[in-house]
Amino acid sequence: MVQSGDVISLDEYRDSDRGNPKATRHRDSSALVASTGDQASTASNLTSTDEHYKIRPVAKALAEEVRGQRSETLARMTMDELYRGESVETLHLKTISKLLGNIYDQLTGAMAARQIDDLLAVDNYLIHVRKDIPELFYLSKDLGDGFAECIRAVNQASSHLIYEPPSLEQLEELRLIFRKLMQRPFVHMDNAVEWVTALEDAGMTIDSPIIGMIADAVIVDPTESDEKGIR
Amino acid sequence: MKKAFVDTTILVDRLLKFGNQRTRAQRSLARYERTELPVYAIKEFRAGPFYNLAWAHNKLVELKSVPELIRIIGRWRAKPNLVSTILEFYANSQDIIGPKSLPELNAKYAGSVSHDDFQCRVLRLNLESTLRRAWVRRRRVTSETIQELPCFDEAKPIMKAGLFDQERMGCKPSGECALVSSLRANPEHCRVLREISKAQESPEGRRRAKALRKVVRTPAAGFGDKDCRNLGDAYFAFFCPRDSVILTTNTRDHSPLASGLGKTVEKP
Repeated sequence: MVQSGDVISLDEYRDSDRGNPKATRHRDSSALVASTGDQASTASNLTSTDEHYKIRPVAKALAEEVRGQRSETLARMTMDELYRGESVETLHLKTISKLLGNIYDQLTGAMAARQIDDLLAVDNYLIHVRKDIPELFYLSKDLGDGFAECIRAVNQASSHLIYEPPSLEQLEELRLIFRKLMQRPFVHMDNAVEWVTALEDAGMTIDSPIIGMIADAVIVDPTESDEKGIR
Repeated sequence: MKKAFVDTTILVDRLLKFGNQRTRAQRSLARYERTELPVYAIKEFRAGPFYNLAWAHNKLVELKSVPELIRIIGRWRAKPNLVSTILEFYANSQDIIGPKSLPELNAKYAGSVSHDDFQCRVLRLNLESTLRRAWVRRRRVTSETIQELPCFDEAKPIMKAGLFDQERMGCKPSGECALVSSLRANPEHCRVLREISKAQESPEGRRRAKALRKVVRTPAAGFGDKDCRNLGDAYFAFFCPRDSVILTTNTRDHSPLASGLGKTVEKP
């Protein structure tokens, strides 16, 4: 069973890092480990001592299993990691939380600027977003493939926004991803795919051109001469 | 009403190709009031293009190197120009996360991630995501999905230990192939398609003629998944509704078959 003291929401963790004394109280249903109803009261038991900011990977992984989701995190853990009970610092959650918050704020700024058609300001906000993304992706190995896929897709999408300003809808979709990641950083790949599909549906390019080239190379074109290539 | 019976090439261009090919497929689909995708196209898509790209994903997981993957693809595709183009693009690519700031990130977090490791992870995720998105969207490409195949297991692709499952996920008929009874109901059309396939003198044409022969001449023989796949373009000519046109990029192979049965083929 997951013990209530093992879990806090990432929003709460970030607020505590900003010195908010109320930060350990549960603000919404966005529990870091599990967002199901039976977890709703978990954060209310938290105290502000550093000890309680430790995220126990076993509990986290179990909670994912309880939710019926495949635990990529668990699959990637070594036995040492399972029994060590890694700290927040080890998992870089503190930095990840800060970067997610920064990007969310920058995108909020970009949306405000877009509403008044200040395109220079929009781009300025996006420059800051693009600056933080590589670090977030670098650290994403701690959070599994679902999280990493979201960051990869956002990076690809934002890199295409260098030359043309995004629409308000596109900025909103980008920001929505970060909102969801702040609430549920341990996102399953199926959910991540659903989220990044929304970026694509909003007209953003989320695939590297190399993928297109690889697809051209491995998918046999029936109009070419027969029997060549990988069938 | 202008209707299109969509073949596998359009599905592939819309779901697994990028740039002009995708745009062309989207625009062509928008030309028709109603677009119909037979489940047979999903079966072909799954067993061919999807399987091949899933292989590329698995190969990347095994090799852990993007340049190595590209070289291996080149060896099997025997297209040196294509390989050098991709390798050159890869080397000059500025849009992949991280390369510029990687040394700083390694220093900051005491890591030792190489550029190739980093890019390998990015492309592995991108390949997996592309395949998953394609599968989720397969029935959304057209306005209708028709001609269900009861013996085709259209199950979601499975990943085991980070690899796409190797099975081509073809049909598993418990009895007779679901298509055979419909094909046998019109032996004259089967004969016409067989004659045209034989005249095409390509390996694919020969395989198709053999599968059609099984239907026409040896009805008692087991018609399995392989035979079903070998029908290929003949399926579209045979099953395309009279009031529809076959929409395909491969008019070269489709046109003779379709015209043999008085049906029309259109390009995107």
